[in-house]
Amino acid sequence: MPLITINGKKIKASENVTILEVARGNAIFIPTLCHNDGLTPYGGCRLCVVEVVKNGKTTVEASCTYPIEEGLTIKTNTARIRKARQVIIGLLLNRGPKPLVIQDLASEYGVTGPLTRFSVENEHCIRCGLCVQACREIVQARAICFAGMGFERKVTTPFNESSLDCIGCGTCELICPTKYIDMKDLPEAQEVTPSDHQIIGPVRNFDTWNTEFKVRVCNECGNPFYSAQPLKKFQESQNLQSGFFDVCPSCRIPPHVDEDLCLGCGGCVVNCPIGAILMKEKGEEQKPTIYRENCTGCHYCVDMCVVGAITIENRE
Amino acid sequence: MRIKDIKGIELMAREGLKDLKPEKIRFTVGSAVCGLSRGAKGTLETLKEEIAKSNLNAEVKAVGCNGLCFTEPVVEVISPGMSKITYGSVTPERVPELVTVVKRGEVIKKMALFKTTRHQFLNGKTVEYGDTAGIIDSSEFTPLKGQVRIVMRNAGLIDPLSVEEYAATGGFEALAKILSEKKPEEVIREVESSGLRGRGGAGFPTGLKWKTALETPSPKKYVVANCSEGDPEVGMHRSLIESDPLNVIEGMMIAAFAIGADEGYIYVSDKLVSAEEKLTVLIGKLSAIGLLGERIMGTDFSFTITVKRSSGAYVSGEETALLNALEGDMTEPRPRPPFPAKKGLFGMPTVVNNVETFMNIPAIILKGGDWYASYGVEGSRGTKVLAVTGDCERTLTVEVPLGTKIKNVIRMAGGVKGKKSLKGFQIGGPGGGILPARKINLPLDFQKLGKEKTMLASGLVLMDEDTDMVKMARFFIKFFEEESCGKCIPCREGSHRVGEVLDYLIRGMGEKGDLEYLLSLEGPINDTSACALGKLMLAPVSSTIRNFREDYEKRIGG
Repeated sequence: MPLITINGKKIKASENVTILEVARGNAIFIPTLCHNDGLTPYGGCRLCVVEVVKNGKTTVEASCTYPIEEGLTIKTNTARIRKARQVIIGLLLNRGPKPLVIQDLASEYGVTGPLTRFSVENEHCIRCGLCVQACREIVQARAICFAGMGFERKVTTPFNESSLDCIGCGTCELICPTKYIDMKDLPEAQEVTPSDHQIIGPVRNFDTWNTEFKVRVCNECGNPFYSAQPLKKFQESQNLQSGFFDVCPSCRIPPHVDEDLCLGCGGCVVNCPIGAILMKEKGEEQKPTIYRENCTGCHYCVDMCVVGAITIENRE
Repeated sequence: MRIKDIKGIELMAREGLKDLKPEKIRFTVGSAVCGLSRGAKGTLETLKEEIAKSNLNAEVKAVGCNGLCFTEPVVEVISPGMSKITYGSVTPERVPELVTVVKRGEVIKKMALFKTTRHQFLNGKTVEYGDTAGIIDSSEFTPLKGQVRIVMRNAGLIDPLSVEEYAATGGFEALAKILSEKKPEEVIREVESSGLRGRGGAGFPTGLKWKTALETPSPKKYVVANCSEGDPEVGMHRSLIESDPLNVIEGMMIAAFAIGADEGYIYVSDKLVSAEEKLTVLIGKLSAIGLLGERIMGTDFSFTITVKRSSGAYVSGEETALLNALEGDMTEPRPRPPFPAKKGLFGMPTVVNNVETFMNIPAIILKGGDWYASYGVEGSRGTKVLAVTGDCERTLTVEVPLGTKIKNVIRMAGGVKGKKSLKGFQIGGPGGGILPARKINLPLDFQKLGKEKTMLASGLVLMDEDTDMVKMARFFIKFFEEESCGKCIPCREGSHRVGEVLDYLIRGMGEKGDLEYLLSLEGPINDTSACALGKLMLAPVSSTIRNFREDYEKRIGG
């Protein structure tokens, strides 16, 4: 286990971790904007810089990407580091002074601004890249990306078009530190044409990504529960039955067979649209068994049973 | 025909030598892009027509660029019994006269630049031409005086697309030598003893880089040649590759043997289309004769090369951004450590070197590291190719030993254009500081230039007394503003804000405190930027404020 020194405190670190992880594990706070424990370190915001002394040479390194080595001496809050962070925060204030994270950092580091000498862009996006990375690494959809170089860089969907890879999960909105990503769930959206308008039902709308999803309505309870396109994608990728997402998860309750009432006629087996019911021998008779993992919860069998032996569990 | 051993290469060399010292008259036209842009194509075609018209027994070859950019198109004539004569500024209108004079066995003295009587190649062989009186020798010709050509030894001499001619100048002998008698460790020791440092700008010792890659155990390793040239107004790497592409390939093969790699990439900037074409053609030719591919020359060494075109961004010359681009990802630098020599392309140990570094390798192997180290000074060994440009009398590409004083290079270029005085000069590309004229006594030396906060890269740009340094700094900041990848905040936002301040200054709206603000950014931005592009971004601004403060101060109102 490598022995390192952070701010004069001797720490035994574990192998294959970064300076930031060790510091935070030992209650030493280093500010970050583009770091998330669930993602690969990106090293874009450079707020996490620390002084690293290695072989007698002092360098300034980003702590979120720098791997721990034996004998490192690390200083996280020297004048040089504070000055560097102040410059970064000052630059961010001019790009967009409104996000709370930026204001918090500015007051903590005593940065006033934005500087009136420069143009103030008033943008909310700080280009930390968390949404892009989350979409790539957690959701694995790769629906959004960076585009442009230098000052013109922005996060967007490929070619600014509505992305076909987006599954509308909203992870980007959840992870965004400045609430730049605008996700709205509209219960009664209207489709407006010059001559006409009609209600198309509930939609999930991402203004930022130029993307809109129609939301699937549950056949049982009538509540909207999830965007239609990603459900189709999941269904294909997981080899699920075609009607699997006709009902919402809370309505997807497999029916229960009362074996005393059941005649063993096999009508439910014939009528089940997806073949989730099979007859199995129970004692001397044949009784239906419902395969819960395949059942879509359509409850067609409940309606079709001649003696009412099939009921819905816990319906009340 | 497949090359099986050194005898095959010698056979090729004999073929090539017939071209370099032909029985009949040989015209060569410098047809790199620099020549073509000055009309070399017209010269070449007119030459062919005129030769056919006058029934002259002669051949015409398109060769690379010999570095005399100011007098393109350059035509060289080898006639039996005469010296090799180099003519400058041979426009198509002058061709008929040239052909008639050559046919008579004479020389146009007012057009001739210099003569060459012999060429000595790396393997010790020489080509002797006759002696023609009345023309100065190449060693007396000012732009060439003081040059030592190791990297550029074949520039303008051989047909870049001819493997035979390259072999005649000692090409592939270094490869044959290491394949037959050397171990990887010995090759690396040779490179270490030469003191060769990376020619891309950072100056990292090449031998050390190779050693790290060799000592990192891995099932696969890569060699990558970085030719993503993006410096504004400088085209030195293009000229090098176009003139002698096989030298790059041989250097890469030696590197691959030394670290145990079997796959290589040449990453070529999208602007260097002709260089890319030549490399692709030659890789095909070498694969056909068995110098690339499986089991080269009957040994266990296998190597293939792929040419990849870059997106054209300046940042793609940064080695980790280059690796990202090769993998198909965004052209952004990766965090370091781990360094590419340990974990590079596709997570495997990778040696990334500049093309100029690779071009030094065959010579080092063939003549030994000690011979190479005899050029240059302590800490900076060997030679350096520089494109001399800007406000100079003669635009040149020169190769001089390290340690040469900058004023000597300026002298080769004929001083400042129009008899003006020198105000400043920039060495080391857009990220190098602009130094005042009084510093021309500085030697080309990694440490000494590093102390002046500049570096040794591909160009030397001269600026005359009329240059406005604020506008010059704005030009470079604009370049960085556009070329920054935008990944990290200090570079992305900083370049824009610095540009805004400089715009105020240029419009005469400067305020007190502007210069202090600019200087206060230098340290933090240097500290926090992820890659060298961001770290060097402010060098042109801070160096001009320090060295030419009066240019700034006259723009700041009271």
